[in-house]
Amino acid sequence: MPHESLRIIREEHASLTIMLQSLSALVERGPGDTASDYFTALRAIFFCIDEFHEAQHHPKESEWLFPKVAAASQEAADAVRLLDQDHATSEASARHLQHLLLAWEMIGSTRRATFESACLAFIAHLSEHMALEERLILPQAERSLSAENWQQLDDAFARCVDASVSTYLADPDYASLLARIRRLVGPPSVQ
Amino acid sequence: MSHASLRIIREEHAALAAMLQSLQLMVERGPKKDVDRFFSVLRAMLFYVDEFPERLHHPKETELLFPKVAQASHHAAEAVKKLDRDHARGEAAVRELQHLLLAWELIGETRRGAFEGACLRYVTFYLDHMQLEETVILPEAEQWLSAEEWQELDDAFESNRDPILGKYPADPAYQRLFAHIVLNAPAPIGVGDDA
Repeated sequence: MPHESLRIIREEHASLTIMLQSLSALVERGPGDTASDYFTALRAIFFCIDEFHEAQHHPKESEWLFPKVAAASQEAADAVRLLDQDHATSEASARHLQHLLLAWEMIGSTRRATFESACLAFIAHLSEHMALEERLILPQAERSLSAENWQQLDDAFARCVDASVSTYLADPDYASLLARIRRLVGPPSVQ
Repeated sequence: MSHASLRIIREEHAALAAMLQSLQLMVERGPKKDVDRFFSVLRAMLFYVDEFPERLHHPKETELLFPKVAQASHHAAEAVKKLDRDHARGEAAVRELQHLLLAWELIGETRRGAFEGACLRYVTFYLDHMQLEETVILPEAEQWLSAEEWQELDDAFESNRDPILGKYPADPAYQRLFAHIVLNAPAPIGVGDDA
């Protein structure tokens, strides 16, 4: 049976994956002749990751889903420990990356390589983080959670519908920001 | 007797206070016609506050000066606890401020108030922090530290200076950053035009 809470998590993962792909494509492409647009686009992508995925998506997982899944098996509990550690440090990591990006923009190309390698490591880490959730946590939840657990989870997710990615995408301020990123980034674009 | 380390701390405080006051003046003035330039100058100012004091100034105080003063004076030890806590949360605070600035720039006016409020709190917090260092820590250090301790401090401080003060071989990249701020901030904050 499909659960609304899992559907929201998968939808938010898909949205973050697209952001990370855009980020990766930009870093590989480099600033070219339009350095100012390039830095603006990277900053805007980090802003979306920071504002939405760090502030809204991770807390839903850590507060509601993970504790229930961790109780189901030792393997899940071990994974949850790792994933919670990531959640605790990822906002600071994303902001550190933004600092490294500014250092490249403001100080110059001597700081470029530090940003690029940290950014690629960040993308790889976050992708692996989501893959672990989808490979282990979500299937474990589907196997182990009771009907009552699911009701609690779905209710909790429904209560914070304002913090779901689809609500953000419908907000005109975000929609225009995403449109701006699309213009700056070109394909493959964020959706 | 004057100590190089104390002189350096006071000079770095003066440079940082000037930057924070300019930041506050820019925010009070607000964006005019050239909105991109407004945000670019504020971003450069916050980058400066994040990069230099957090990397060069605070570690010298927290690692070198504070432990010696805290050991010598109970009165200073109380202040050091608070100052070290301030240092520990300083980086996260300035980065949160940068995020709020980006929210104002990218999302719009609905996010302006949150940035303005946080900026004023940050500037006040930082000026108060430096004031406590100058009124408690530095006088206590002058009263209690030994000649040997001063020598150790002076040597360490001399090797690690704020790039904008220009009293050691300056990195041209940092000079460019400072020039960017001064040239683009509108007069009288900088020397840019009032666009």
